[in-house]
Amino acid sequence: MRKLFRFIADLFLRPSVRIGLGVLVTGGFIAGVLSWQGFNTAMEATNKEEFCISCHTMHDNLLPELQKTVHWNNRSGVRARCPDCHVPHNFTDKVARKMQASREVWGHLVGTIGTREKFKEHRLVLAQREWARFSANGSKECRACHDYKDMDFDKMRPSSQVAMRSAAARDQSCVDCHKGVAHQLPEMKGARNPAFDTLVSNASGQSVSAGNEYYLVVPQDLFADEALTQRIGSVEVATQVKVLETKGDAQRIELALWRKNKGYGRVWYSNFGLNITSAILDKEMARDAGLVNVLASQEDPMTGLEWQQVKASAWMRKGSLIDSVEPIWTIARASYNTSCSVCHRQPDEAHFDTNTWPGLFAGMVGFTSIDQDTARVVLKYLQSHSSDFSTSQHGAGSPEGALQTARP
Amino acid sequence: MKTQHSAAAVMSNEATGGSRSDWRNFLLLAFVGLPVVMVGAIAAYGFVVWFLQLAFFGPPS
Ligand code: HEC
Ligand code: HEC
Ligand code: HEC
Ligand code: HEC
Ligand code: HEC
Repeated sequence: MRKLFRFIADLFLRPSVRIGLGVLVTGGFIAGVLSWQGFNTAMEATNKEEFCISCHTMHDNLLPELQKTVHWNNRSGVRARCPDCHVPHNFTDKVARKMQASREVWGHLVGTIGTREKFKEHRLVLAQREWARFSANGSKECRACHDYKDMDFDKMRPSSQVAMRSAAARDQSCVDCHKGVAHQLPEMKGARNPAFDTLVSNASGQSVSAGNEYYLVVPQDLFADEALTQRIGSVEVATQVKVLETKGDAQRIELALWRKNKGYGRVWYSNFGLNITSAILDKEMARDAGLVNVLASQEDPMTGLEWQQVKASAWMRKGSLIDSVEPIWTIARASYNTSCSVCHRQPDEAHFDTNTWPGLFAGMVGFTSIDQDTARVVLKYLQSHSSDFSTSQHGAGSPEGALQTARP
Repeated sequence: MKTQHSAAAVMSNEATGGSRSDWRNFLLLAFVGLPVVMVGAIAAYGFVVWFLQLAFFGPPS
């Protein structure tokens, strides 16, 4: 070690006796030019599509997916290559991204996305990283090719104009709306909303006493027996239940809900005449008089259907109840406000009635990146705050109004 | 003073092998050593920026 230090110190401090200064400087200059050029060539080589594809195609079909989109083949003949969208263009961020790719090299060696199946499972995580990146930099990479200031909105398809004009007015990040432009979207099934983790941990600390009413923070399976072996159905998030007893890990709860007297009557709703799904029983159990107690019947004048007030008790795993529904609605509201205000102002909850919301919501939720569990909560939130429950006059938050004002 | 200095230089030069070793050191330094250091430094810079992004700044804007 000492010797090495010594050698390096000598190398730099001891003047050369035989080689002329000019030769040294010229040699150094040439070496500098060559190595900088070599460095850039290497950077470029690792920024070639062929390089990316050497890992990313054979196994996981990202390229075939891209080939089906406009960015592969279009009337203008401009191609977007992987690094055009994925690698930052300025020096610092590019170098940082290249070093970040050490994770990719590692992943390749370990085979995290070695097969199409593994890739599909892992895809959401990767996509979320990219979404976070695009939303932080305002989709800078997209805008290297097409930016608002160069767009002629009048030439766009009519369906694009309103959304694109208001996006330009807000200088919004493209990928907020244009997810899945180049690849298939990941399945949102495995996605989790981290906000629920706090809720679940609060629920595990909730003291529960028999005879009181609580709300579910996550959907739960229902069982006929205390050992939780015989599944009879499931109960939805934010459903109100009465706790009857707690034994070990299991809890017996009572459901007091409504159902349509039609078919098996498997789906149970929280209120008369309103399609707010609260529990779903298995077919065989739904007509089991030993389990289900019909308290009353009433005809819904709107549909002519007979609704039954029903009661049943069942076992479920303990630890997912809280004593107030408000924290659940807070998460739902936040999710609704951020996800549904991307293209238009989010309509007032009370602008539609409970039975209209599911259809509207189903048509819109595909535009957002809300995961499935959160989507169910948001829908329930909207239904439970719809015009059927609202006492105030509605109309202010009408979506027609929102779209109108979005137009410049 | 002056003679002493050059005498020392000549001596150590001889001790390490003369102008042949000067050439070898020069070429190794210019074409191997420093390029490696450059790549290393840029890589280190990249890692530092990445870790800062992970820890504090979030993705680049
Ligand atoms: C050594 C093989 C390899 C090469 C070459 C490669 N990738 Fe990857 N890439 C991977 C692996 C493995 C992952 C998954 C990383 C993980 O699981 O964290 C990945 C993940 C990604 C992601 C997901 C986001 C992220 O931050 O993890 C993007 C985007 C990506 N690669 C783009 C590219 C682009 C663009 C290139 C060409 C410049 C490229 N890759 C070259 C193996 C590679
Ligand atoms: C290399 C340049 C380039 C980059 C980078 C790029 N695009 Fe494109 N984009 C194009 C070209 C070229 C077209 C096709 C134009 C045409 O219709 O001829 C296009 C078309 C589109 C379209 C229109 C699709 C349609 O149905 O007509 C959308 C939307 C789009 N890009 C979004 C994006 C987004 C979002 C990003 C960033 C993730 C992005 N683009 C990055 C060049 C690029
Ligand atoms: C507020 C959401 C939103 C944002 C932000 C947004 N777009 Fe769009 N964009 C849309 C919608 C909605 C359409 C219509 C898509 C359709 O009809 O399939 C569209 C259409 C387009 C089209 C097709 C235009 C045509 O010829 O009809 C292009 C190109 C495009 N967007 C590019 C971009 C780019 C580039 C950005 C970022 C600089 C961006 N968009 C940001 C919502 C948005
Ligand atoms: C037009 C821009 C564009 C091009 C070109 C493009 N991507 Fe992507 N890529 C995206 C966007 C946007 C996402 C974020 C996920 C989404 O919205 O689909 C993404 C996501 C990814 C992911 C994360 C996993 C996933 O599927 O969501 C990987 C890996 C990836 N891209 C690799 C590539 C490779 C490899 C290429 C070249 C064959 C490529 N991309 C070309 C825009 C692009
Ligand atoms: C990608 C952009 C986009 C996103 C994200 C989006 N919407 Fe929309 N929404 C639209 C457009 C465009 C219209 C007008 C469509 C029409 O008139 O057919 C619309 C219309 C509506 C309407 C009025 C429909 C009617 O028939 O009166 C409602 C309600 C609505 N959206 C709710 C939502 C909700 C809830 C979300 C969040 C889950 C959401 N939207 C997210 C683009 C979006």
